[in-house]
Amino acid sequence: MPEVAVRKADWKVDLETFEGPLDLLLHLIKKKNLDIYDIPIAEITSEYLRHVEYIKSLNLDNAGEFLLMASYLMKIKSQMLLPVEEEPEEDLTAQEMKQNLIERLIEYKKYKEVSCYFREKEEIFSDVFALREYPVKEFGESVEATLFDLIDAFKNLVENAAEEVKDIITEEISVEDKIRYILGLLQKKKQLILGDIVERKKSVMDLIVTLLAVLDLARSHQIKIKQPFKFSDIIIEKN
Amino acid sequence: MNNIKNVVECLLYVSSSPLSLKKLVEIIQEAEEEEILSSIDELREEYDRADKPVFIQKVAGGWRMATKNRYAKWIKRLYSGEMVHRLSQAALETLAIIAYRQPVTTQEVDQIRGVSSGGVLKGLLEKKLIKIAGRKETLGRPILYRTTDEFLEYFGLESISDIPPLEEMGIGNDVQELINERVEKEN
Repeated sequence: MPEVAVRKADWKVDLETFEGPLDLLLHLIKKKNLDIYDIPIAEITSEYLRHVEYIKSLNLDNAGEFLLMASYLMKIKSQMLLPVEEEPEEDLTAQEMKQNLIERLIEYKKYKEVSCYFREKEEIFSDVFALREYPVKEFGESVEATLFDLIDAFKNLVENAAEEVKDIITEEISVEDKIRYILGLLQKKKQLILGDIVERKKSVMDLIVTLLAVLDLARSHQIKIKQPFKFSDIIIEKN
Repeated sequence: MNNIKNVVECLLYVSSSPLSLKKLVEIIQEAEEEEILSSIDELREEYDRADKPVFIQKVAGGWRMATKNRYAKWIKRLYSGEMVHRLSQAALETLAIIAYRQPVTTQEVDQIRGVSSGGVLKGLLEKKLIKIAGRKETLGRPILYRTTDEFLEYFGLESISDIPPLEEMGIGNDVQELINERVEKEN
């Protein structure tokens, strides 16, 4: 990532280092030596806005998030100027909004600080090497697919097979045959893609029998059914 | 006669992921759990003591053989171009949030960070440092994320309970010191 730095007069915004509006606020609190438990809203708002002006002018992807915080700060600031007794009941008071912000800042600060721990461990263990099995590229991260994912996938296949639907199926395919067929394929290949097992015979009956066979195999724990990511192919593995 | 220690050493040598005690007990039917454990201890001592380039690392709920830090220079030359770069600050923060709050949704991570984390999460998924752990049964059934064993391996952690308590964070300025002490003690 290229480093973006803006210089103006005596101060500098190093955008690389700000992960977001909360991070910028923490930076300002630290820089100005402010009390995080009782942030002076007026002071922090004007300081924050000065920085955000530059972020805005740079057309950053997350400029919107910085602006959202700016408007939140200004809302607190303006509410604080209103007479207290006129507070509408459904809205948060300025004090409550400020308290929410403080809590978010403290919460975020914890994770920011603890990330130093992970950075140090990374530093050490990036120099430690061990034998590793590299993930099979095509399949990537797997998620256990639910029954509904499976049914959805079948629905898609049936829809794709629509043209063949009119044919009357005379051939009887039993679920047991299909189970044997799938297990046979799994002898040869570690992983099967659901679409591949049914595509060779695009008949609805075959699809249904295959679905039943796959479900039966999963039920008896002979296979595992996975879906690497949403809407992707369903993968069948031997258990 | 093969002694158990040699068997353990071989297994650790060839395994592509850390071997748990359960797995070792399962494989080495000829020995009791205690014997396997003491073999591991002996091996760890031997590798630590002698001027060996590898050591027995306890990580991600098991043991594996790994190279010692001081040989990293040459290994990096061997794999030049394929080496993993350091994680970005955004990635580290996001990982930290997931590590402490798992299982966690994108929205929860976004809420804490104050920025959208979709891209960062995708990168972490690709690096296998996090995984999808189902869906939260709330409106929209958002995806839940968890850290993986690869996460533990990446940071050299034995288990997820090894990460420092979050309550110690965010209260003072001496956190860096605290962390340094902790990291030193762990290694």
